[in-house]
Amino acid sequence: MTALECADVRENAPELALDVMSGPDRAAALEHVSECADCRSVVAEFTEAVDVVPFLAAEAEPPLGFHDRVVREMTAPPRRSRRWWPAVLAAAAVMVAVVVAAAALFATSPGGSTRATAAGHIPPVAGNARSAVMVGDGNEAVGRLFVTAREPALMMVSVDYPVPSGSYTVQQRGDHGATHRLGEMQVADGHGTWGGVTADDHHGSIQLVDPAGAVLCESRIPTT
Amino acid sequence: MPSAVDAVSDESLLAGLAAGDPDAASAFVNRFQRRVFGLASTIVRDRGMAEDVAQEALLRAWRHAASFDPRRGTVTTWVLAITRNLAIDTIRVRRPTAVDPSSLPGIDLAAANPSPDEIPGLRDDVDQVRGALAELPEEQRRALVMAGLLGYTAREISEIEEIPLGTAKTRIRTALMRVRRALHDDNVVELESYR
Repeated sequence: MTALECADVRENAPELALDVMSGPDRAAALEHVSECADCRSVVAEFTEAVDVVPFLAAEAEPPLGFHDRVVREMTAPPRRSRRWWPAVLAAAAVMVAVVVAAAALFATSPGGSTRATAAGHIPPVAGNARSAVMVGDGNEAVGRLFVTAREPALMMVSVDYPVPSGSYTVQQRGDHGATHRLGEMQVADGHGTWGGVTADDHHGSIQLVDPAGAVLCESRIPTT
Repeated sequence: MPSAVDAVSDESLLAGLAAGDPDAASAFVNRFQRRVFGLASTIVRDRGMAEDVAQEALLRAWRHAASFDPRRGTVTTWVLAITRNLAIDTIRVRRPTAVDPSSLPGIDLAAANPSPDEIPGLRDDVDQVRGALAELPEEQRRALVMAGLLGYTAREISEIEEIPLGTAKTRIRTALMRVRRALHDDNVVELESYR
């Protein structure tokens, strides 16, 4: 690890702690921090300061009835929509299409392997689907992203990652930093899968975000 | 009349929330709703939108209560981080409208309105930070509010403030170091050595 790399990361440590870096820069900085304890310590110290910034906002009384509405949402039994079948059919169609695309990809990979190439991408398969590796904080491969070439693109994210079981947000982060929530992935015993449709813009990264907003792993959306 | 559950710690309350206890749910919302709504209002500057953000933040905390990790911070810090991220995502779709941080109604550098449920030590920290920020030059305070509360990148701040990128980065860094100094008066050497 060179001193210049550490200097670059430390110059950007405040923005990394504030989570206001753009996608590619953030990914590069996280990759470095995962391997460099000294830089990780610097970022952690800024993060400690960042954590108190939201306390600067004054408290405010929410509208009348707010408390009861939120508690009702928390304690009400799960509701079943009367119009459940269109959503189920749409979800099933998406999953079938994605699985077919993924299957086509597997079928054309040597030996059916899903191992990543050195660049982290697998070449497109018959114009149908592309794949990339989901990379964790420690720059390790923790899952895969499959996306079809058609628009709107169908997408599947699967992870094999030892994070606490629970619900995690799948979001798309554009090259300019804007994020768009795509859905929720349920992770149980370190395994989770999510399928859905991407935003109109098929650029940027797909990220898995924990409830506190920390990005656990991400992958660039493969374009070629 | 306050119930017994109102007196338990934040961590215990969160555990009750994760277990589906209705009393814990009510006490949790009661304890955090003013701070969550205040932060959401400060960031999105629209009362209706802030209500949506605050509701979603509390529901998200409820859904993920079981995965809260106390080693990474307090419950309040965790809930406010969820709120901040949701609010920033909400206003990002309205960009690139420039926001004048001095026009934000919820920034309260001199407030002394502690919630009765707040941890005394945390209140002391926040008061120290408020004091430190009140002494910051205006441009550094603006940079910290823009990045820390509104989610602007240093590049966006440089464009809005019409200053070089390096200046924007320096303002953010200096303001955060002041915050850090306020939290740890005796231990800021290591941060400053990386300038």
